[in-house]
Amino acid sequence: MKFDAAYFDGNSSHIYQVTAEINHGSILLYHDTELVIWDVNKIIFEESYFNKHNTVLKYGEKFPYASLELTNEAFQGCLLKLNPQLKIKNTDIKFFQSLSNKSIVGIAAACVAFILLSYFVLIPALAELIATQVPPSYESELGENIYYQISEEFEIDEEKTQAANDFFNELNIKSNYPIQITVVNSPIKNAFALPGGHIVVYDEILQSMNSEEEFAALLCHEYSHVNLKHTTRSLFRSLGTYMVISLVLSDINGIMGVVIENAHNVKSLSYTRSLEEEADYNGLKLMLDAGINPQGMVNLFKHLKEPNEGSLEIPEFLSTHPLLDERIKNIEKKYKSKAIRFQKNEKLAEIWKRL
Amino acid sequence: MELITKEPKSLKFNGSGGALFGILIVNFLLTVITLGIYYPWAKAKRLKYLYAETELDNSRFTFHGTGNEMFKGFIKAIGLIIAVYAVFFLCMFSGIMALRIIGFLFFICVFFLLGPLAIHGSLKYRMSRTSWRSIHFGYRGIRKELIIMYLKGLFLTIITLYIYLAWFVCDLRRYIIGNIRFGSISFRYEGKGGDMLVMNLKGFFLSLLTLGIYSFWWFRDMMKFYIDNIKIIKNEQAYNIQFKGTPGDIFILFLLNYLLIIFTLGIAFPWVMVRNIKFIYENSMIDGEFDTSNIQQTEEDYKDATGDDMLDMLDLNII
Repeated sequence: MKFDAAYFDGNSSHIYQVTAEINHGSILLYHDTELVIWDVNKIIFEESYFNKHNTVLKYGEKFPYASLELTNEAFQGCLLKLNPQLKIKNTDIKFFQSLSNKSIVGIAAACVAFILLSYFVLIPALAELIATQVPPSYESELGENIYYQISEEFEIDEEKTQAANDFFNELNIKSNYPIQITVVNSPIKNAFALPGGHIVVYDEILQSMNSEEEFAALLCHEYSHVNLKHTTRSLFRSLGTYMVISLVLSDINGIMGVVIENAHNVKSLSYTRSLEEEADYNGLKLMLDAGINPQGMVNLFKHLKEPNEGSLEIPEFLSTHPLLDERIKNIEKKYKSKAIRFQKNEKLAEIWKRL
Repeated sequence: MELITKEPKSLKFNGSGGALFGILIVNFLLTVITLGIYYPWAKAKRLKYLYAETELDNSRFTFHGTGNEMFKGFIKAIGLIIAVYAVFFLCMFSGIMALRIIGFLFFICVFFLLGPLAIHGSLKYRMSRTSWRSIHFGYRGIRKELIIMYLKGLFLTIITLYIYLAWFVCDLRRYIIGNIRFGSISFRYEGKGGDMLVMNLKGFFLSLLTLGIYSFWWFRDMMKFYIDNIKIIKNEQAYNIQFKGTPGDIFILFLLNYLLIIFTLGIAFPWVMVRNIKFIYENSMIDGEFDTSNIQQTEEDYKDATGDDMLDMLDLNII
C-alpha cells in the first residue's frame, strides 16, 4: 500500500512531499526521483496528541532525527503487521473531544464532591487520628519552646503564680501533662493554654473575679484545652486541610484562590469555636467532679462580658469565642439538667485569698 | 509546493477547552491519588497536548519531553531543596552561634541562586524538547552569565527601591530571548528599561485616575512592549512581530474569562486557558516575509529536566 506523507530530513525545515510504501521490512519513501529507505526495526513511534490517525515517526541512530508525518487510518495497522513489536501508543484526544456537556458537568461534579469529602471528612478525621498519637512529651517540648519565647515579655507575679499552682493542685485533677500555671501582670483580661501544660493567666482577669469558683472554672477550661490536645489537633487539621487547598489551588487561578481561602478561614474559625465549646463542657465536668459550684463558670463569663475599655463586641459569626451569652446558656442547660451536690471548699477559699 | 505570501502570519491554536478539560481532570485526579508523584507525567501530557495543537504554516509543534525525564528532574529538585533545608536546620539547631550565622547566610545565598539556576535549567530543557518540522529549539545562555546578571539586577532593584526593576526585566529578556535558537533562526529583544519604566508609570497613574478603566490600555501597552520588541533573525535579516490586540478586545477577554470562572466555580479554567492562548496567538502577527521553509538544524540534544521542575516549585513564570 502507498500513503502520502510529509518527510523532514532532520537537517532543514523543508517539507518533502513523499509517497510512503511499506515493503518487506522497510518503509520506502519516494520523492521525485530520490528514494529513502527506512529499516522498520529502527523506527521510533511518537505519541500523537491531537488525532489518533495522525502518525509521527522518527528515524535515525541519534539526534537529530528525520521524521515522517501522515494522517491515514490504515497506516498504523500496516505498520503493526510489519513490526508487531513497535510500541504504538495514542493518547486519544478524540475521547476527550467527544465528551458531552452532560458528562463534563458529571465529571466535574464528582471531582468537586471528592474534594469536599476530603476537605470536610477524610482529612480532618486523619488529622485527629494523627494528633491523638502525638506523645505528650513531644507536646510538652513544643509548649516549652513557645513558652520560652513569649515569656521574655512577661512580668511574672511570683507570689500569685505559686498560689495559682497550689490552687490547681487542690482541685485534684489527674493529668498526663505537667501543668504549670503562670500569673502575669497585664491590663488585658485574658488567659490561655499552651500545648503540653503551660497555662498563662493575666492578672486583670483575676481582679475581675469575685469567687474561687470562677477561678476554678477558668483553670478547668484552660486545662481542658491542654488535656484534649486542642492546639495539636488544630495544628494537624490546618496542615491537612491546607494540603487539600494547595492541591486544588495549583490548578485554579487567582480569583478562586481568594474565594477558597476566605471560606477556609471562616471554617477554621468555626472549628476553633467548637474546641472552645468542648473545653467549656469538659471544664464543667471537672468542676462537678471536684464538687465545685458550676455557677462559677457562669459568673466567670458574666465578668468577661463586662466591657473591656474600648473593646468592640464582635458578631458571633466571626468571633473565636462563641458569644458569651450563648456559652452561659449552654452551660446552664448542661448542669441544670443534672441533680448535683456541691459544697464550699474551704481550702480553695483559703488559697483564693492569696490571689 | 509551498506558496510564499506576504500576508502576515501567526501561530494558530487548534485545541478545545473540552479536550484540555479532559486532560487536566485526569491529570488532577491521578496527581491527587498518587499524592503528587504523578505530577511530572501530568505536566508532560499537558505540554504535549498544548504544543501539538499549536500550528505554524500548517505544521504543528512537538514537545518531546517525557514524564520519566521530568520525574528524574522532579526528584533531583526535591532532593536539592530538602538538602538545603536540612543543612539550614542543622545549623540553626546546632546551638553554635557561628554555625547559625553560616547556615543563615548559606540559606540566603541558595535562595537567591535558585531563581537563575531554575530559569537556566528550564530554558535549556524546554527549548531542546521543542521542535517544529524536526527542527529543534535550543537555549545557548551560559549559567554563570545569567547568575551574575540576575544577582546584579536583584541587588540594584532592591537598593533603588524597585526603580531599576524595569532595566532588570529588560536585561533578562534581552539575554534569554537573545540566546534562544530555533535551528538557524535566532531572536533579539530590543525593549529598553527607560521606556518600560515610563510606560508603567503612565499606566499606573492613569489607571488610578480613571478608576481602572485605563488598565486595559496599560495591559495592551505591556503586551506590545513585550511582543513588538522581539525580532526574528534569519540570515542577518530581522523580522518583526506585532501585537494587534486592542484595549476593547482585552476588556472583553478579561470580562468573559472572569464571568466564566466565577459562574462555574473555576471549572471553566481550561476554556479560559484556551481563550487566552488563542487571543495571544491570533493577535501576534509575524512579518509575512519571514520564510519558514529552509530553517537549518543547529541545536544539540539536552535531557536534564531539573531546572524545569524547580521552576514549577518556585512558582516563577518566565515566558
